[in-house]
This record gives sequence, C-alpha cells and structure tokens, in this order.
Amino acid sequence: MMFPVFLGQQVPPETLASTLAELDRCLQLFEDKFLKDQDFLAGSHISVADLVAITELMHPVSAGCQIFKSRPKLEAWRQRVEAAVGEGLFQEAHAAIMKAKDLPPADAAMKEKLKPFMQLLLQ
Amino acid sequence: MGLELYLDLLSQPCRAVYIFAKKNSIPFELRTVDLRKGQHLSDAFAQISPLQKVPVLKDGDFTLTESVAILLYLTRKYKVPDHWYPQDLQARARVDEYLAWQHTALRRNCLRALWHKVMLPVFLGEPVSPEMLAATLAKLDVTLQVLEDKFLQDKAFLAGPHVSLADLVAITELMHPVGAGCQVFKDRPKLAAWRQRVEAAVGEVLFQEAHEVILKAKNSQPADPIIKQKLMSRVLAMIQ
Repeated sequence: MMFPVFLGQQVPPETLASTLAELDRCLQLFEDKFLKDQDFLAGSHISVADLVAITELMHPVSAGCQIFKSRPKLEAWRQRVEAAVGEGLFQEAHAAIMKAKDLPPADAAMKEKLKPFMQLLLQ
Repeated sequence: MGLELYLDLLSQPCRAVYIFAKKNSIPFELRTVDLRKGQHLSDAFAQISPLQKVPVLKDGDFTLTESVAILLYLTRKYKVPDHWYPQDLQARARVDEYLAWQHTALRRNCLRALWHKVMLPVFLGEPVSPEMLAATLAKLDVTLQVLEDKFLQDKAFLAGPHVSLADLVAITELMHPVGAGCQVFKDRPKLAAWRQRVEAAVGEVLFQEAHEVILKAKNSQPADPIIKQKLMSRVLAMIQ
C-alpha cells in the first residue's frame, strides 16, 4: 500500500501476491506454534508478546488486508488483547496507521531520501 | 532426562548457545541435527520442534526455540556470572538492544555472505553471480561499520567493559563470513582487537572447538539431488 500510495511506485502483482502469501504462512505459524489454544501468546494473561504482535498485525490491517477474516481464533485473540489494552488507548495508538491509506503522496525530495530504504524493502 | 540441546555448529545461533553452555559448565546432552543432511526436516525432529529449525532446548517437558530466548533461559536458570546479562538496568538494556538489532542486521548479512560466497555454489551447486556476491559483501561491510560505530564505539565490549551475551552472539555471527573466506577483520583494527578480547574471555580452546565446523564449510560435500530439492526453498527463504 505505501509504495503505490505514498511513493507513487507501483508494485508488480506477483510481488504483492507473494508478499501476502508469505504473510499468510506466518499467520498460520503464529496461530499454530505460538497462540495454540491459549488465551494469550505466553499463557493465560496478556504479556509484552501480545502487545508486540497486535501492533504488528495492525500494519497489514491498515493496508486493507483482512487478516482476521476466516481466522476466528486470531480474531478472538485480537478482541481479548484490545479489551486488555483498553479500546480508547488502542484506537488512539492506531489512529495514524489507520489513516496511512490517505497519506498525500511524498514530494520528490522525500522520495529521493527514502530510495535506499525502499530498495531494502523490495528485496 | 536432563537438559538437551539440539544443535548443528554450522549454524550461528547454535554456536552461541553451545559456547555459553560449555563456558558456564551447564550440563547438557548434545543432540546433533545435521542440517546439510536435512535432518531438521525429518518427522522425528518435527516432533521436537514444528518450526524445524535449530537451536532447540529441551528441559524435561519444556521445549524452547529461538537462540536469544534459549540464552536468556540458561542465564536465568543457571545463575551465571553477572557480566553475561548484567543486573544493572542500563547495562542490561544495552545487551537487549544489541540482541534485538542483530537479527535483521548482522545475522542476516553474515548468513547471506556465507551462502552467496560458499554454500550455494559449493554445497547446492547453484552459482551466484559476481554482482549478487559483491552486493551482499557491500551490505555486510555497511553493517560492520554500524557494529563498530554504534555498538562497539570505544568500549572494550559491545555493551560495556565486560563480555556479555551481545559479544557472544556477535562473534559467532562474524565467524560465518570468516568461514566463507571473507577477511572481515582485515582493515578493521578496532574490530580485530575486540575479537581477540572476546576469544580470550571465552577461552581459545572452546572457541576453536565451536568453530571447527564453520571453518570447514568451504569443504562441504555437494548435496545429493534429493537433499538439495528438500533444502532449496527453505534456504532461499532463509537468505532473503
């Protein structure tokens, strides 16, 4: 999402598809190896692990990826984490990322500065 | 059954765990998992760890993956000397900082250097273009500069005046490109001096022992076609 919207650089459909496939693989690993049948990642209470994980997952969510759709276990976990954090605080922390789709395109000077970072991400 | 460590000393994180356990006289059963024979992909090993990677620690019924988590578990359980993971708040934070940074920085670039220079062509019979290799080595060089400038600076060790988990993890990473024949310490006297301090702190004999396998990586037997097929996609994903 950021490449096309913010940097005005199209990403080939194959690259996007393989990125999303890799994300999907990771989500499965996440559910199977880490979450399993627990309430939270490290046991019965929220921990730093859940906090790090949920904030990560909000990245693809903000890009419009429906990662919780058809993943009921993950969705249930997400709700528990948001409740534990508190709705107000969770929304506040994610206000910026949720508006990422609406970012005005970067100007040429900014694009130039971001070039090496872009190349790294596209690897 | 006591502590078991599933390791292949070809792997950087395995070396750090091995050295740490040995140096601190932590009793363990070594369970060798031969990566080049694809043993990590066996059904038997999948029972131990579904992620099919090394290192893995098994302490009775408790199984743990991720070398950093393993090192910290051993640190806490066996009450090792303080300098490995200092109690002091800020000194400990410096070790944590390094351990977090290294995954996608030094580790990644050291891994790519080994695979692009040696393992892909020699072990898997896949040539790597000179441009690709040059780009990989250039990135490694940039990371080494960050290691010197941001982490080591003018200190004796990465997190302060004493050797810590950070140095152990870093030195075992750097032995990957060394094993590939990259002269990472040439023209880097500061890093070379740090290396000598770390080796002395670990002990020469233990250090050599832990690095015997990686230093012979150049002589890997080419993988047979079946193994190669099993390993290829995982290797490519690993070195992305």
